[in-house]
Amino acid sequence: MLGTYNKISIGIINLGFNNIFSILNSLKNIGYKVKLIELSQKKIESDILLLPGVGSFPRAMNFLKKYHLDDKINTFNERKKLIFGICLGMQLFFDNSEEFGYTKGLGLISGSVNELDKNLIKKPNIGWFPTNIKRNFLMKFNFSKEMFYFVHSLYCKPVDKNNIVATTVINKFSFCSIVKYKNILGCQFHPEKSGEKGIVLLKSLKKFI
Amino acid sequence: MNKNFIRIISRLDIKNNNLIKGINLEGLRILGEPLNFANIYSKHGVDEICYVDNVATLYGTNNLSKFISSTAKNLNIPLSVGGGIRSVNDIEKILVSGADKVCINSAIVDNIDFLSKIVKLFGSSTITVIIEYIKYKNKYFISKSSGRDLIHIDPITWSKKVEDAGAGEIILTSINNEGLMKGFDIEIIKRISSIVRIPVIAHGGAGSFHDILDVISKSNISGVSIASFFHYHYYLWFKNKKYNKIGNYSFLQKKFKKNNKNLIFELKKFLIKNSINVRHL
Repeated sequence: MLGTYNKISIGIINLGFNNIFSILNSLKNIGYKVKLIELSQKKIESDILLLPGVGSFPRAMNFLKKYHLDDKINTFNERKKLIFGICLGMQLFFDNSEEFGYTKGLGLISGSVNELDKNLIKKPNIGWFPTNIKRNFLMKFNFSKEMFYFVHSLYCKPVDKNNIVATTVINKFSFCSIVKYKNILGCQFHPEKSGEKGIVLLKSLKKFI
Repeated sequence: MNKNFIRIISRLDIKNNNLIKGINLEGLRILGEPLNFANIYSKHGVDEICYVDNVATLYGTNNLSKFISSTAKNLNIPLSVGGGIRSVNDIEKILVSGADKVCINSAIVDNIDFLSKIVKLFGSSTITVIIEYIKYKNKYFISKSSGRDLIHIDPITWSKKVEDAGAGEIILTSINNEGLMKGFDIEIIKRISSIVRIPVIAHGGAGSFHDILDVISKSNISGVSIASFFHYHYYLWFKNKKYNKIGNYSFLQKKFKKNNKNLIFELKKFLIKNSINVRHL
């Protein structure tokens, strides 16, 4: 099994102030070839690019711009290689976010990132919640309705509903928990914190290459 | 009826590298290696691990870093860590070591502006506030340094204040009920969890499946934090398997029956049967 994963390299962007320890370990345990992307690197050379995710949207965008990582991500994207975002990493794909005002995002997927409505749902939204995956993706993910660990105060609203691969419903409030647009894939929950099912999801990444 | 998705959280209090447990936050007893407990809890389906270094505030130390890394290395559920956190640097150190959230009490009681400051830096979902309160002569006090200093503020007022300052969630500990395993202080838990909009975790008193169901169904909490009830069960479970080498065995053997049940699995099965939303393996 290891033989198939260790041929796949995953480059992780380290935003510098978050816990990437867990995602790094999970991917390594599966067998993927994992490396942190050096800020001095001119070009991102890996099969998969991963944007991990805790911290605030403005702080993360500032960091990406400061080190011209936004341009490097765009170049990587032009080569149609898999970009995977977790939580804040997924949110960064969109046009803009309401977090602490208004901040422009990477604009790789059309849509916005909005604050959760306190009147509809507890905010921050923390805990294990079920995801409902669209039927045509069941084969790729190997699960249909599993619970994953979420910790967030904002959620993504893709313009094109076809980009929504999975939704999560809490107190009748429904939001996008997995997004896919062309070679870009993101999840609002933390697969590296979601037990065995999270590992299954991380393993399925190779089917999206 | 509580329709929230409920997290079952294992609370591990730590002192000098050992898992400890007291009653009313006092009379601490050594149970063994925290890592062994955290691993089995995760394997048996607990939703989150919470480490708190009880004496950190008292001695002004903060040496959980190595524990955090060795625990986080093999843990694929969330880990929150507390005890003695006083600065931005403390928080960064804990998060980089592999924790997902930090839990803070004393430093926020001393200075609530510290809370607003760290929320802006780390995001509110990373910051959990621990509220430890005690009922004494029919008056409520909050406390710091694990119950050593009482402050004349009632826990309801205080929970509103920490919510307004940006806390991501509240772990609410009733010192009177803590460690007794005779049920939760439902009255206060119910009031606070219906007033604040952020998640509230009830802590202090779990002694049976019914205690846990009771506090969930009668309040608006998002989770239950459990220590003694799990520790004593798994302590004897380990002993049965000749696994854990340290700890005060003779006391516990007298007090609790040894059995090999997967307690966490059974608890969740019981809660689901009673229409509570929990994750089940």
